[in-house]
Parts: sequence; C-alpha cells; structure tokens
Amino acid sequence: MKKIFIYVTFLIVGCGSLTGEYTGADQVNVVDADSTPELEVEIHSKIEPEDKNTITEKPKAEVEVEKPSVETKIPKLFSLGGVTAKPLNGGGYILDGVANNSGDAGHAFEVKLQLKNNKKTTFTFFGSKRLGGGIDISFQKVDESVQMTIVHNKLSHTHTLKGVHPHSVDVVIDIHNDHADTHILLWKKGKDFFDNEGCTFDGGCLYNTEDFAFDVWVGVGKASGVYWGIKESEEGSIIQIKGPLDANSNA
Amino acid sequence: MQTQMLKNYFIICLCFFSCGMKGVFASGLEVSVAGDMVYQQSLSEESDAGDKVLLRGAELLFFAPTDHNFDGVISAAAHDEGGNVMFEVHEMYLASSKIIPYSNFRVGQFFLGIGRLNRFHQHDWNFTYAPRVHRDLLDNEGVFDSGLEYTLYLPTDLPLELTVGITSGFRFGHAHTAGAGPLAPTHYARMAGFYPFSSTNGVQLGFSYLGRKENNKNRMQLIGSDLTAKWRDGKFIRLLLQSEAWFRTQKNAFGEVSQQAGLYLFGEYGLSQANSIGLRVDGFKDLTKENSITNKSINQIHYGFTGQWTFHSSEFTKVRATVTHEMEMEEGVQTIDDSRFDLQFIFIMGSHPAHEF
Repeated sequence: MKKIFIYVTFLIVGCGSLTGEYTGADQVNVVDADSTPELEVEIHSKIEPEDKNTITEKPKAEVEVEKPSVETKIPKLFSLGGVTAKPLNGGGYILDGVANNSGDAGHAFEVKLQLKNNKKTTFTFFGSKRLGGGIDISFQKVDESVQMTIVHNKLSHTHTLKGVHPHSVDVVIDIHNDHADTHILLWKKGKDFFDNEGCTFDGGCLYNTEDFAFDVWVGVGKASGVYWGIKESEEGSIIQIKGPLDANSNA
Repeated sequence: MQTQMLKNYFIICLCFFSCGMKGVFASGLEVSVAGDMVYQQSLSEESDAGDKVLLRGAELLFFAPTDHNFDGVISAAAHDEGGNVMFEVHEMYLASSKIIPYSNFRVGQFFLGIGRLNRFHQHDWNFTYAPRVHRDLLDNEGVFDSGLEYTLYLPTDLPLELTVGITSGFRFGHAHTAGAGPLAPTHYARMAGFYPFSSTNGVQLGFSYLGRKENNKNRMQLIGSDLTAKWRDGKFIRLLLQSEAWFRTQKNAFGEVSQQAGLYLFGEYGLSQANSIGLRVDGFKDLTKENSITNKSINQIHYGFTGQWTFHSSEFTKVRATVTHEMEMEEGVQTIDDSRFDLQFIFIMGSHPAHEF
C-alpha cells in the first residue's frame, strides 16, 4: 500500500498535465535566424512532399531556401481595448481567451465602444479559429441611437438598444452556449442582471434572445467554436473589451 | 408566464388530491412527490454558493400499469434557476416488458439510459451535486430526450443487458426552448453486466456510447464507463463504491477537434442503518484547450473533493451535510477555488418505484 501511495504521488507530482503547471502556452515563439535547415524548410520551402511521412526529411541540395529574418517569425500582435489581438488573413482579429468546455459553456463579455460614424463594429463569439460558425454581434450608429444586429446560424435580428448613446456604448453580454438554443442577454454595465422573460420590454435588460424565442430565434441551435474576435470595426471605436468571463446569469 | 406555470403546477396537484382519490388509487395509480432543498453556504470568496436555502427541485411522479401489457410513467418537476422557477415535464413514457421476450422498451420522453447518474433522478443520487464531468459533458441533472429505448437481457449465465436508444436530438442538456433539428439524431447504447458476490452483494459494470450531430454540423461522441458495487449488512448498505469515467470528442464544421475527459470515484460507508459517511474525488481535463494567440496547448486540470455525512431517517427522508472543495489550475494559475458547505433535505411522499441496483 505504501509503495502504491508513493508511486501515485510521484506520478501526480511528476506528471505536469495532472497538476496544471505552467508550460508557456502564452509565450510567442521567436525563431532565431540561425535556425536549422529543417526548420527553415518547414516554413519557407515550396516543396510539396508526395508523402506526408517524408515532411521531416531534408530537402534536395539544389533547392534554394530563403533564410528567414527574425521579424517575419514574430506574429504581429496588437492590443485592442486592453486585449491582445492577432490579425487574421483576410481581415479581422482573433482575441486572447478561449471558451471553456469546448464552447459548451456560458461566458460574459464586456464591450465599451465609441461609435462616431455609421460603420459597423462586429464581434464574433464562440467562433472557429477563422471566426466562422460563431455568433456575430454588430453595433452601429444610426442617427443618435445604437443598432445592434445579431447573426447566428443563418438567423438574424436587428434591435435598437434603448437608452444607449453611440458615443458611450458600455454593455455586458452574456452568451450561454450551453443551452440547446444559445441564450444571449445584454445589459448596460452597472445594471442588475435580470434575466426574467420580458426583461427586454420591462427595462431589466437591453436584449434577451428568449424574449424572441418563438419568432426570431426558433431552432437557432448553438455556436460552433471557442474563439472570439473582431470581424470589422470603425477605427478608434473600441475603448475596452473583456472576455471570456464567468457568465453573470444562471438562466 | 412564470407565475402561470407555477399556477398550473399547483392546480394539477390540487385537482389530483381533491378529485376522487379512492377511484384513482383503485386503478393501481401510484403517486410520488419528492422535495429536494439545499442550504448553500460559501466557505471561500470565489464560491458560487448562494448562501441561502435553495428549493432545488419539487417532483411529481405518476406511474402505473395502463393495462396488462404496458406501464405508464409521467414525471414533472419544478426547478429554481437563478431565482426563476422553471416547471417542465421530465419524463412521460409508455413502457413494456411483456410484449417482446427478454426485453424491455419505452417510448416517449425519458432520461437517457447511459452511465449511472443519468439514469437516476437527482433526488435519488448518493451525493448532493453532480461531479464536474457529469455537469460539463451531460448536464447538472441529466440528459433527457424523446424517442425510443430498447433493452435486451442477454440469455447468458452472467446477467448482461444491452440498451440501445434513439431520440430526437433537438435538445441535449439544458434547454428553455425547442432546440434545433439535428443532422443526426441522438443515438446511444449501454452494455452492462452484473456480478453477484453473494445473495446481497454485487457489482455492476457498464459501458456507454452516445453520438449526435447538431444542425451547426458539430459532431459529438461520448464514451463512458460506470461501476457500482454494494455490500449489504442486513437492511442497509455497509459499503457503496460508485464511479464513472467519460471521454468526449467533438468536431465542428471547420474540422477543429476538441476532447475532454473526466471521472469521479465515490465511496460511502454505512456506520449504521441511519448514518453513513462518504467521500468523492473528481477529476476533469480539457485535453485540447489552446491559447488563441500562440495556438499552444493550455495545461488545465480540475479537481473536486467532497466529504459528506448522511442521516437516513428512512428511505423516504434523508438529511445530508456536505463539504466540497473544487479547484482548477490553468498554466500554473488557480482559476477556480470554490469551497462550500451544503445541507440537503430530501423527502419523498407517497409511493416510490423500486430502485435499480
């Protein structure tokens, strides 16, 4: 028994995956310019091996490989609203942070914007690495009001946010992607988190998808991914964003 | 609408108890009403415990033979969700063990016949809260759906049963709305065997599989095992061992694969017919969580430790005191630190169906 206990203890202590220890997942790789030929080939070679199993083999000597510079290896990162953002090919940014439980979870996101012209600022939540299959929530200045559009699994709804001025959009969004149909709630930041039915109409919240469950969001289903990001934005409109946080509502 | 639901719930109760009970019972109708209340007290700053008494569930269960071939079951429950009372039908099905030899089938809405906890109502569990693996991969209480389930009792020396089921798949887990039609319905199977140590003691081992494909093209597969072993001493259970392990893999329309695994081990020792103590250890890990910026694998692990004492006044009334500590580590940072004390009161009025092993 003693031997078993010691063995299990060493197994737990020695096995980092069972302790959740730091492994450098947040460290961005900086590749030295004097990297090995194999690594250079992996990134810059135009060789298309017929067999995937041969991908680690050294290339033929006659192939010229451009020596990569350090700058090309560091991905360009930005800070958007206080969150690290990485640009995506084709436009948009993926933001730091992933949803729990492979997206089968509820999370809160805080968004603070200043909308000056009519361009949309569109966020994607619970999307794929390319921000596909997620929930797109756009904010747009229309005259002196803010119009929010939600697009989710080919269904969409545009709703004017009452009492929200385009120069000061400060909202909290709960997205419960662990429901059979994703449940989305919006509140003004600082408000209590009501989630009763009809909260959109009685002023308890800015928006609640369950208030429109039988006409707009019938059979909408869930979002596909765990990532969040920005698809498009008016320059300078994003003041502060936070997420994914613990959901505010249990509904 | 919430008030209306509560009114409907109590009108049903009132109608039943005031309208010709004698005639109703003469037909063989059995009624069971179960109450489940939990006083939650947080012991750490980050605890989710509400520091209040939560009326977790009130369940009405009706069951009876409908004729010489079939049995009917209807159960409805009211749950507290964030201060809102949600009333819903949990189960409504027609079952028969008399039509097909060595078989039992049911058609309607029911808790899916997979695993261990998922096959039992929450108030019948041997602990207060579901372990993390059950909460995340199934639901806080359990997954129920509408469809058909068939169980075959294999004609072997060792009792073996094979259960297969197919259900609509519109909903899986928590739902307030109708859900979306899936591309492949929920389909599942469980193979279980029972080995008796003696006339009163034995162990059951089961293996489960579940698959479905949602309308967003997310494909999910769940495999699990469950083990339940009991040693009786006269009228009460001297030792209970219960364990489940689950592994889930999902693939979305973009080819991104995610995998999670978890298990729990629970042991309960009967000090006497009226008192028992128990300990549960939970583990859960997201095997494919990735940093969205670096695309590197995130090292994450969740543990839960639960100690409990249960007072069994009878099979109809129990009081359970539980101390739980749940912790989660992610890349060397503790992201969850939840310690709580819970005092649970469970009572059943009326008849109650015989429990499975």
